[in-house]
Amino acid sequence: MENALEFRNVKKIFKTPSILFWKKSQKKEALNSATFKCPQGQITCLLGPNGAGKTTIIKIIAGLVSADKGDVVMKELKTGDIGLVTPNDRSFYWRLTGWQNLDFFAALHGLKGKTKKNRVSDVLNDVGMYDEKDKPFRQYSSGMKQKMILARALLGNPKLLLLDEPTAHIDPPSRKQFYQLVTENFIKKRGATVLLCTHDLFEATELAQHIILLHQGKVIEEGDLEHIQKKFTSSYTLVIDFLSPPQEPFDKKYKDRIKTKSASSMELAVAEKSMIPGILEDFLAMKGQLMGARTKEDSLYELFDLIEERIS
Amino acid sequence: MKLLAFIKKDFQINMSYRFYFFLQFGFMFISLFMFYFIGRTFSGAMSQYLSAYGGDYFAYVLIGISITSFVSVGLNSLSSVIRESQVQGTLEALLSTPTSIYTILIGSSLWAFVSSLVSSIGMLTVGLIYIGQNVQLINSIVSLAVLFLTFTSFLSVGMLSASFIMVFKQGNPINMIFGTSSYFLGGIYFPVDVLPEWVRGLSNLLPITHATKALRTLLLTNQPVQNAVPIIINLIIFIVVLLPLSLVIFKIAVKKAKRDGTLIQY
Repeated sequence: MENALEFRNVKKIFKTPSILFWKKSQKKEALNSATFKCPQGQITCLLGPNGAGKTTIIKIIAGLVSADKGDVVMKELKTGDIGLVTPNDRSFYWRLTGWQNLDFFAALHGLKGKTKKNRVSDVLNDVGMYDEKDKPFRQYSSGMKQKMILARALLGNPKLLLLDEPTAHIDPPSRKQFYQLVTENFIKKRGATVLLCTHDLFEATELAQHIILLHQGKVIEEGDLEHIQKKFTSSYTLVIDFLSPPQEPFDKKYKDRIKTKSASSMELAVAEKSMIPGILEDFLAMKGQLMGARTKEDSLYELFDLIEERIS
Repeated sequence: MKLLAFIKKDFQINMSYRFYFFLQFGFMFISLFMFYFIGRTFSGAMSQYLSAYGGDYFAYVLIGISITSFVSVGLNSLSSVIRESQVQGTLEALLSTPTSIYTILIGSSLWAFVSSLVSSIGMLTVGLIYIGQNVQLINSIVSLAVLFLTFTSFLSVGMLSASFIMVFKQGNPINMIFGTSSYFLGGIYFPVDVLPEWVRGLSNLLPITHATKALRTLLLTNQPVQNAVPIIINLIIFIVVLLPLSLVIFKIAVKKAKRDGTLIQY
């Protein structure tokens, strides 16, 4: 698969001047030889806790911050091919209507006359805001404002869409709708590439095909969800639901693996999936009345802790 | 086309504040009336200084105040555009489009330029008609060119101010120095000849001194255009020196802001 974007050993240090002018500026390493790829036509997620360097990466790609060292390779991407979506609804002119706002930004994308009018109509239709186009921007709800931010990003027909924590200020239904719009309008309709920057693990697991784990400016790991989980989680969890529990020797045999146990179910840690049939055979052999069994992959919620643990 | 889009957008925003939109034209004429009565109060008293300009204080100050809006727009608009768009958050959105920061800057200050041009021309027209001054067509056309040159020279200074705002966010020594000295030494409210001789040298270093002198030569004394040419050349020299210098300094400021990661911060 081709890559729409590549970061090669990108370094960035920010200096914060001291209030006392005779003291030296404080240096903070935002990116430390960051190297990763964004596959073409996929949603790639930059995942990491606050201060990991996600927004710095987005700003470097958008041309708002310059890298100190390293290369940012954007294949066949020129200015205007990159759309930026942030949760900042103040980036619109609140006295103007939705249409007037988009008309202005469309002109800045070099669109004129009928082409401009059609493009503005198209993007408003795409995000379901056409009927609201003549309302002043200040009267829109948070969800509507977010749709307008997406509509504006669509104006230039971008090949790469940068989403910097785009749903930070909206409710879960609006968030779901927003990501549906992104998937439909960018990935399915346009075959574009999306780089999503979030610390919301749920968003990452739901949406991304490719995940880049960041920690203190470094890329810790890169790959699909399964790869990341395999790399950072040592076990699966086997959940057994039962009518009656197995006899005591079962608990003794698996005492190091049993994580939780209740009157109707138990959870066991298993290193490999191949161990599961053996465990279930023992469960039945020791007179347990099985209702059902399933594996639960350790969620990414535990991942940040694990990363911290491993690094320290 | 992009520059026109900025004018259209700012016109729409201004029209959404209708009361303020019409009120600012009212204020323009209030200040005219004020100087008319000041002129009547002191008529004749300052004639030795004003004789070179026709002897009427109102006519003299009319030229000065009609140009002050240009000084203000040229000096403040660019730095205000940077500051406001950083605070509001629109700068990030504007820079995300394929539009250079220079187009954004110039485009965002165009509305202020157009409205100050309209108010200056309105003030001059009303004032000159009132005092019964006959101005030749060629002098009027050259006066318009002088207004444009004045704006461009102050825009260059404004670009230096914008560079300060880009890097330091707050505090604008260039505006303070240039603005105050232009109002005080530029011959807006009183002739430069009133000032002590050593201060007059300083006033020649300000573009506004030459702008007011050129406009008064063209509109009040109705001298042939050739007499204003040397003064206009002085204005052009200011632009030739200041404009490229301010563009280079602004480019350095943008580069520094990108390196520091503070381009869109305030």
